[in-house]
Amino acid sequence: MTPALLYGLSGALLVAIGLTGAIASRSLVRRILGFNVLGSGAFVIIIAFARRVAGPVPDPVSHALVLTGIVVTVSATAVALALAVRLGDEEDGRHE
Amino acid sequence: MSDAVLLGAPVLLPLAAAVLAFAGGDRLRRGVTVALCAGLALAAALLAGAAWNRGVITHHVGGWLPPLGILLRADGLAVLMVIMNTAVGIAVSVFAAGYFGGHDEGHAAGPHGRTALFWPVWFMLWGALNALFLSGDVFNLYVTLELVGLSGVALISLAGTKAWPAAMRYLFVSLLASLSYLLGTALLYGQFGVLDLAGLGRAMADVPAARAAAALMFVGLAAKTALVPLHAWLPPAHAGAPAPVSAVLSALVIKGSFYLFLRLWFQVFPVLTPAVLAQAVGLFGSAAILWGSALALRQSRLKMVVAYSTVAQVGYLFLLFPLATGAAASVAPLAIAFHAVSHACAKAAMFMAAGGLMLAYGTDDIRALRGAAVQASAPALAFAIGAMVLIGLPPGGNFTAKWLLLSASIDTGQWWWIPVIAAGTLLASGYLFRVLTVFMESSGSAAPASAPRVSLAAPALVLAVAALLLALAAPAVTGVLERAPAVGLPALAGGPS
Amino acid sequence: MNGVAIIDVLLAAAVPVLAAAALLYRDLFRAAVVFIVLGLTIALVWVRLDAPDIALAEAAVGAGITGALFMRALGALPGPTRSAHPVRSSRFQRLAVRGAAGVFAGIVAALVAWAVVTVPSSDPVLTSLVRDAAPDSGVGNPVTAVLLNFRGYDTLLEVGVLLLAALGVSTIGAHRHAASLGGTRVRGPVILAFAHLVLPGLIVLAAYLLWTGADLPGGAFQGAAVLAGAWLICAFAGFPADVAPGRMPAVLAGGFCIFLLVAAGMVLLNGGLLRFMPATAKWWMLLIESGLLVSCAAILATLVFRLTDDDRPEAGR
Repeated sequence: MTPALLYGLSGALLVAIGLTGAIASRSLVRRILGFNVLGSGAFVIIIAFARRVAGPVPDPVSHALVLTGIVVTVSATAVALALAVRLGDEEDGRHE
Repeated sequence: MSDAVLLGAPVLLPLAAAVLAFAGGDRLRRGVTVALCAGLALAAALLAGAAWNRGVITHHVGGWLPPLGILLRADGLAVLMVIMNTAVGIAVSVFAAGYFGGHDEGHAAGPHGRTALFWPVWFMLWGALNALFLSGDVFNLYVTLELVGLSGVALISLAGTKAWPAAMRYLFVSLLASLSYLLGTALLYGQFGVLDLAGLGRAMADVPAARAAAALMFVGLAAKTALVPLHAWLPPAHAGAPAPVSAVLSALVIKGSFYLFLRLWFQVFPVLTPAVLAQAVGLFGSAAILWGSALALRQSRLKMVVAYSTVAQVGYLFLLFPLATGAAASVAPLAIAFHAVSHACAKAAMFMAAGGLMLAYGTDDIRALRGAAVQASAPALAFAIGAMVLIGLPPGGNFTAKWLLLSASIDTGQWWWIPVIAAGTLLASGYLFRVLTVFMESSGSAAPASAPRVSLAAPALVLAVAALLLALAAPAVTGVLERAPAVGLPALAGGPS
Repeated sequence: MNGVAIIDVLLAAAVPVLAAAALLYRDLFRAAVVFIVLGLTIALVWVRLDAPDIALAEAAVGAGITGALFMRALGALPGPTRSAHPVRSSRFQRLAVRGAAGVFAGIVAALVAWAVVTVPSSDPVLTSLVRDAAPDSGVGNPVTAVLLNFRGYDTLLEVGVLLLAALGVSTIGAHRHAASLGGTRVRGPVILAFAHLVLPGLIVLAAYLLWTGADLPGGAFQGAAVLAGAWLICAFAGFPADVAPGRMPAVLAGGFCIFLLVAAGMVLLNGGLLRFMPATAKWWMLLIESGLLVSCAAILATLVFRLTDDDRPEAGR
């Protein structure tokens, strides 16, 4: 069991947790949390793959991909939260 | 003309226009819009001409060869998509200038600032779509997908309070789909070590990582294209948006994710897509045609009819996959190209016409639109022509597409698609004639609140007529697909007679 | 970094546990706090996986800015919503939905895990290509080389996404002022003192991150996140360090604009989109990154600030 494999499986677990939260939560904010967790899971897997071989330098392309992914995720999160606030955290816009 | 300019202009021009539209003032915005439309028309023409003369056009961004760098690639299909994007985009821009200049669809009367934000976001979307059509790198395509999705959400939200729930649902589906695609990309990169579509296609093998990636990416893209049963998000989003946005979403954005699906299917994953899977995809497409049309029959709002029509029409596109085999291998892609372009023009025309009618009558409830054929004849006519094209009136593009699909079904012995196409056509006549009949009723119709402006109807009419005459462009369409063949798509031997 | 150490096992276990906690806490505020902790823990995972650039970015953007976004959003939602939702469907129904989603997610994750286990453990082709081309890229940090040179087109579009998010947030919120960073001002001696202490350091840190990103871990985005943090502290502390409303769009879009101009300019100069000559690459990239530092900082700050106009009195719990 290499660290890469260990963290890769951890990432897969994150994917499961995030996906459940994103689909099944009632609160919009919690669903957005789920999406973030799901994204983080993908990133963990990418970086874990980058470290499969114990060489001097891990794969820089993977790192660039994840950096881009982090920026894209924060952008999407911002728009999603803005909408969620407008909707009062209820999917059909009702304020409870 | 250097390849860098040919492939870079369709992307950079709209993005630059977005910056100028955002940072500049009102007067600058108008000039920028005109300049952009002219510039993109020129760029599309030059690109098409270059592809016609030289075949596939490629450019390595940064001067680095793939897989190290990102490849931009314009084959015949990409060129057609860019042309479609340009034509519809220009028409919608003209329409939106008139539409937002006056009203705000009666929804939340936002401050002038809000509709001013339409332009930068729309230009970003325009550029992002071109970037999507021209990219040859799987991760780059992820970024373009996100750009397209987020701008779509922002544009839908312009309609105000009523549209927010639909925008939120659209955002969730879009995000889930993109993350699924990203996960697939991660697995592909982990397994094969490259990111360019060509390299992935060459290296593809039937391994678990590739299967998982294929499942993730195809399902995600199908959800983005609203393939039944993942379609429920589309009608409220497309119908709830302001009219110009509805036009763009149904005509262009939906083609983007389909285009990606197609690319992945033929260029990256051909090893993993047995005939059984293709038939299954075709089955979902058939379900879309039938179910979407059935639901369209039950709608009372004009924009909802048009939106459900999109769900149905998307189904035809997915018939490509089971039919692109054997004797019909070269005919099916041609059919889909015609369908995509024709539907884009007709659907955009219909949504723009619906927008014009809404402005005139104050509502898009079909019963309120009685007599529109006489009182709001310009938008009603545009709607009618678009409707006829979608049903399959020759020499429209949809007629050509259906004809080709039918002949492909016969040639490959897959006769079971024929009743589906026939039923789809019948149902489309049903839900569209229902609307047209109301337009043509003359008794007891209330006069529209305000006279419909011709400037709003003109772009719709132009697009509708273009769609109607699309079959006449068949030699050009076939020619460009032949001269700049797409990877993995069977080369065309000859065009339709 | 060879075998699995105890710390790796702990981190790999802690991450899913924290994620589950964030999604299970009924009080959304607590969930958001756990989420921030999760982000920082993931940053530690990046450190263990020899990804310091990403660790910086995750801490600053993933935990910091995203955390601020969640806090701001929660502060604007009506009070009762922050805790449990009023139950409208039966307990069994909700459990069934959760169960079905869990099963579905489990299947997806199993597919993914199977893929993770079976991928070849050799470096991607791309790694050696990057290593060979790195000397010609103009910078010593291979991640920066990939971000701004080899795959600069991705970064260009990514900045577009950021700018678009700022536009989107402005569209969705109802904002009284066109483009200033106006909003809640939390006055008080503590935050003012904190601001005085911390601001100069943050600004210097941001610039440092940018400059060293050329050869050491760091870079424009990390610097931008730090600068955005400084900006936000400014704004919340009531510092008059705002940008004139009329100029804000230019600041927001400026970095993207520079990037576009350089991309196009390289067509004229070097015959290709974003094509740099090894000798001058570093300076063009530095130009792009400097623009990005300021613009992305402004965008990130704007995302937090203009997320909502609604700040309830009980905000800031």
